[in-house]
Amino acid sequence: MQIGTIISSLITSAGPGGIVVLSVIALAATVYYNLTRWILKGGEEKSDFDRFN
Amino acid sequence: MPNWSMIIDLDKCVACQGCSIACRMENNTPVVSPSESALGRSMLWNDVFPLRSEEEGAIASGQAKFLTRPCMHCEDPPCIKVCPVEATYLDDEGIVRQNYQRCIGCRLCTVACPYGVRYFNWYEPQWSPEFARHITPDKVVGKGSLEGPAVRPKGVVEKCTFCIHRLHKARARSEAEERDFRPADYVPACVQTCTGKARFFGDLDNPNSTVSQLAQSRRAFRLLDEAGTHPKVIYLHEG
Amino acid sequence: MRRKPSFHPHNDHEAIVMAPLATVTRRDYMLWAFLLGIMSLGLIAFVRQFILGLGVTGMNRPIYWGVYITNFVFFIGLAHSGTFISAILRIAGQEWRKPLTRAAEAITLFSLPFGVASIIVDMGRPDRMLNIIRYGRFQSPLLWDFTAVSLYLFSSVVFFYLSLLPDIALCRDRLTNKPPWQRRMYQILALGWQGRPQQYHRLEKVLDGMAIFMSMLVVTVHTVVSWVFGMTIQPGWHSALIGPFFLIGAIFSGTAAVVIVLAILRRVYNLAEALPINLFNSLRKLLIVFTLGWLYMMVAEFLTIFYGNIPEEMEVFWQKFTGDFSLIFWAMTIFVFVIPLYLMVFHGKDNISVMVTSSVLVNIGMWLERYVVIIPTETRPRLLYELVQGAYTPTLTEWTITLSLFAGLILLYSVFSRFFPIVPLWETAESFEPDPSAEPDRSTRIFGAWSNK
Repeated sequence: MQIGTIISSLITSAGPGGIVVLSVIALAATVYYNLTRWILKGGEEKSDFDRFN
Repeated sequence: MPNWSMIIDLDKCVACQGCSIACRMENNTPVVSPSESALGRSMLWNDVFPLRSEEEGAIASGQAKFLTRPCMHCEDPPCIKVCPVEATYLDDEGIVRQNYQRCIGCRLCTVACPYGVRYFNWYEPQWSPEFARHITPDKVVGKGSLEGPAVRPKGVVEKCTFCIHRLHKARARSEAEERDFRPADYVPACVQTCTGKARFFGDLDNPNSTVSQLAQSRRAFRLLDEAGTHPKVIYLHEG
Repeated sequence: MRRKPSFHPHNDHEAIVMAPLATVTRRDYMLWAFLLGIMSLGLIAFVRQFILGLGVTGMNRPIYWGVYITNFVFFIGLAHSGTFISAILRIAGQEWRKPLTRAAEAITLFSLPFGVASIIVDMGRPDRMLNIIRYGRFQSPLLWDFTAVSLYLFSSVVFFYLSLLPDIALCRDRLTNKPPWQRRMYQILALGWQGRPQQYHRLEKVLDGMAIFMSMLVVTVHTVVSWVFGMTIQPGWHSALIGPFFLIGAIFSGTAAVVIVLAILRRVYNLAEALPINLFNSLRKLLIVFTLGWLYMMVAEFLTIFYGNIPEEMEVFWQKFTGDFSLIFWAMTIFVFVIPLYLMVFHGKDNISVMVTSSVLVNIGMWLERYVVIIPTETRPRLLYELVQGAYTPTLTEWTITLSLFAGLILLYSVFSRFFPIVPLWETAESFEPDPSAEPDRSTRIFGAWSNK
């Protein structure tokens, strides 16, 4: 019953909604940024390790 | 906390529209031009209108039934659920409030209300010189909130507030006079004005109040009862 | 420091696909000027509306939502085209989608902003937009809308950009005779792409993953858009079917838009070899399925309402079938079903003009459909006693702004197509074998084992 009230007030009160929107976008931005970096790093030469192997 | 409710006895209502006029003057509701009105943009927090009748000429012959309709101040309002910014909310005294300062004008509440009690400011409100002289200074102001008869800007939604400013004034007066607040000190303008003494107002949760007793009447009904909104404006049909 | 040369897979159609990037013609400039002109008219109309108030539209009580919200739903629906073609077909392993994928996604990318613009135009107080962030209530369907559409827009940009990346690098490397600002643009946007096999490999994996995510997003977005209506208790809107109804409608109108755009690109840029006719035949089959699917939705919805005979529902029903909206409703039915089905089934095979005609009719019909979902319900509010039964005539302001949104979409698309290849060259490449005449690149290794996906 208590957890229901907490969730209910989180959903119905002003403010949390905005936080959700911002968090979702921020999370997406972080994920996409890192994915892009990961893609571009594919097969990149590591400076000393590869050359002397 | 009291749970404010209104009883309207349709047997006594003569559809004089005194309630609508009193409401307009009390709450600084602007009048619109005839062309705007024809378009459907009249603002009537309390509206008096004939019920649709199958017979022709029902209005002219005096046979038509009329309804006077303020905001229902539902106990489970569909309008507050859909507001994205809490510009409209249910307070702890059962009044559905409207904050002009926060409203973004998305009009989701206006389409969600099944009773059609909500109105939108399509333009900046304008008054003819006569009306301009009678703009009342009453308003309900808080941090980030502007409610009640306060002159509204364009682009926001407004509706009947059960004359919330009168409630605040009554409370302030009782504090100043160092006595308890009496629910009878507070009546909305429409209830005070009603020619036929057809309107009653009070605390629905108090078993001794007039509204509470009248609500038990055999003649009592609520509009769109089946919609689950639990409106607190209770009508008594003609007996 | 001299950059190592990057690798681009060999594509037989490279010359044809890159040809439109060679010059911006006089006709382009005239088109862009014309479109900008329309957009400025729209801007003027909006500014005037912002100053005076929404009263300059035809909206009233009880028709609080009109053409602007219709546009919103329509443009978000159009956006589903790209995601459907590039994401859903990708997951389904349909290789034929490859030449279309960028053209379709570009529709998504360029129509979403105008969907968002439609909402802003409709707000009574757009200056208070940030209130949604500061005071957002997650119980409101508008918040769900805001979240879903923002995420969709953002993800579409990223998905589009990543799919474009190898071809930006191609432009960087091949288009050496362009003005410095353009070369700099490719340089920066290419993010140093080298075309290493591991980069391609990782790119494909990310696109596969994003395709799954985007497909889920497509379902969510248009369902959530429909719930702005569906979560009210108004007759005609409060239907459990409204989510799938809008979703199928969106994929339907989006796919039809892809057909139109492809036909135009094919003609204007001479891309017949890169966009062969069998693509249109495949799209034709999909469109026929979607038309029938949409017919199913309409029948399910209206038969249920009609059979139930609930009074307030029937008020809205008759408004559409015989009342004030019957002309629009039946026009919609003819444009969306009767003519397109007949044309596509019997005359559509190997016939691009028939497919384009059908698709144009479908899209006009779907715009009308959005209108017919939104306005009639508002004209017959639930409280049957209401004297104000409502009528709505959109004003010049609304039409001007609507037109400018379409102009904007066409403008963005047209400009894009002159600066970037509209057919993804790296995805449609014949082989990933290195060009023997290219300089050997020490960092690449296992080319021979690379297989074209």
